[in-house]
Amino acid sequence: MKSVPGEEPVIRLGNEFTEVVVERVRTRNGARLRITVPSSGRQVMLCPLELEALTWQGHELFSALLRTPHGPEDEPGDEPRGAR
Amino acid sequence: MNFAGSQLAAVLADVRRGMIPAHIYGDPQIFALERMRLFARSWVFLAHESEIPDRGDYVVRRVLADSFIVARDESGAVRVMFNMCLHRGMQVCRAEMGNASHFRCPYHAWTYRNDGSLTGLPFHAEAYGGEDGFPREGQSLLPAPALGIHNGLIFISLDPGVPPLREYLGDFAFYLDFYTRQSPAGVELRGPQRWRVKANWKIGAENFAGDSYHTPHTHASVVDIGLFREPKASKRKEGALYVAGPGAGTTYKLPPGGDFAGQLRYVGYPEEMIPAMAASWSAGQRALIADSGFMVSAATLFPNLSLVHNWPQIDERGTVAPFISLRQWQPVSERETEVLSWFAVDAAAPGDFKRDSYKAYLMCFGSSGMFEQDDVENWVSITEMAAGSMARRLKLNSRMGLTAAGQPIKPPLATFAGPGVAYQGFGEFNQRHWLRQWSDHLEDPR
Repeated sequence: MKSVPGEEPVIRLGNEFTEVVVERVRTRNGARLRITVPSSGRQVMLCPLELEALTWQGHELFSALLRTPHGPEDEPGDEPRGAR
Repeated sequence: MNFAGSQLAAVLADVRRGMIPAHIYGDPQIFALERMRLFARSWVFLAHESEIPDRGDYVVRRVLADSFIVARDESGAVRVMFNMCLHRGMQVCRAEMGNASHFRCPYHAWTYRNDGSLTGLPFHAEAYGGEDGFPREGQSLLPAPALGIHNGLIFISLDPGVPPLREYLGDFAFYLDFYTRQSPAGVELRGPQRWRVKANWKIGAENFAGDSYHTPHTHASVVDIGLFREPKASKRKEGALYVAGPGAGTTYKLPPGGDFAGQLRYVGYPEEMIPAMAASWSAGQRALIADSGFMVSAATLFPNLSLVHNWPQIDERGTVAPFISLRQWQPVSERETEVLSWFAVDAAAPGDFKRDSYKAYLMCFGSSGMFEQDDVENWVSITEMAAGSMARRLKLNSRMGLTAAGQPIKPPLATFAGPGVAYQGFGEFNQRHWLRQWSDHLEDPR
């Protein structure tokens, strides 16, 4: 995948708990949505079908994801932020 | 508390006969009693539903030292939750407003849905042994002990045994509609502006309840510069003062001979808003304006929510625009008050009217408003004086409108269409009504 920085509009979205950067990333044959968390550097690239699948979800899904409130706890060498 | 029961009884007896021991406006022992016996029991205003219109919207508000999250959850319900994490007691939401589906505590990241229920905590399995050691089910930020909503106004009480809000509001609900139900759409609030003044909280609450007597003098400059044609003494003494349920307020006498629509036009309401008011208000409410000829102005709902409706001239052409403001006197200490001041306007009003009305509000009230500037200097000074030694020897005369024997100097208005009791002219009936409720709370040791 490649993208030309600055070419796409960037949406910054935040509240008192976190801040994320959302942008469209063009690939050779299509596009994905990249969500980046500047404070952790983590990101996810979602394709249109994954995004559609999100619209089927209620907030229950996200409550379940937030059961580990600062990220995965089982990745070796990847201490969650805030656990220091 | 080292405040002997007999001392308190003497203070309250003086207050009830309208001779107010001056130190109550700067006394830490009195403030301790207010915290325990008044604010821990009363219905206290927190926010309006229009401040949290969408799912996930929240504001953070206080009842004295207790911080609450007022949120609209994902089902659309209004929730009021004590803003203290179940784990170590950190304040969960620290921004004054925001939108979030989940709240994540800054300390250890315990995470709650916006209905208050606990959804996640880090290393649940390792630290707590999972559900076995600490079941998340049923864990929730503490809900406000009692919650009530009237015309979109969200109140809570720290006392779970308090009577329902509507029952508490009683006859004052009649008057509340003039400020918060001008059309079926209700009002929308902007703000609040929030600032602190070095004044005891009771002074502002009493002032808005019924002090029409200060207007001609304290606010003389408002008339001098042509901002407002009404506060002249000759106009104010024609107004009626009413007490109703837990509230009390002032009114202005409208020009003779006007009908309902004419009187609303006189105070600056545009033609297109008047049918909604006619439809939204009861026959009695319409009659207060059309037949009795009074328009509501300032009021206080006990203990610390005040309302104001005025109609200043907002330009050199003499355009009159009415505005509504809600304000809360949030005590910080016996000598300091945080003022929250909101602009309120009929949600269905035309855009031009909302703009003019907002201008009218800002010219009169809010941190830059002229009425505000005039008032606060008095209140700060009273508080400073009340905190000294001599104030313990002075009983402030708050008996205006009464004979030496305690009878009203003139009978109540026989032709006042609103509920409660109303007197025309100057008097301190309303302030004494407010202080009687204050005394009843402070007296109750339960």
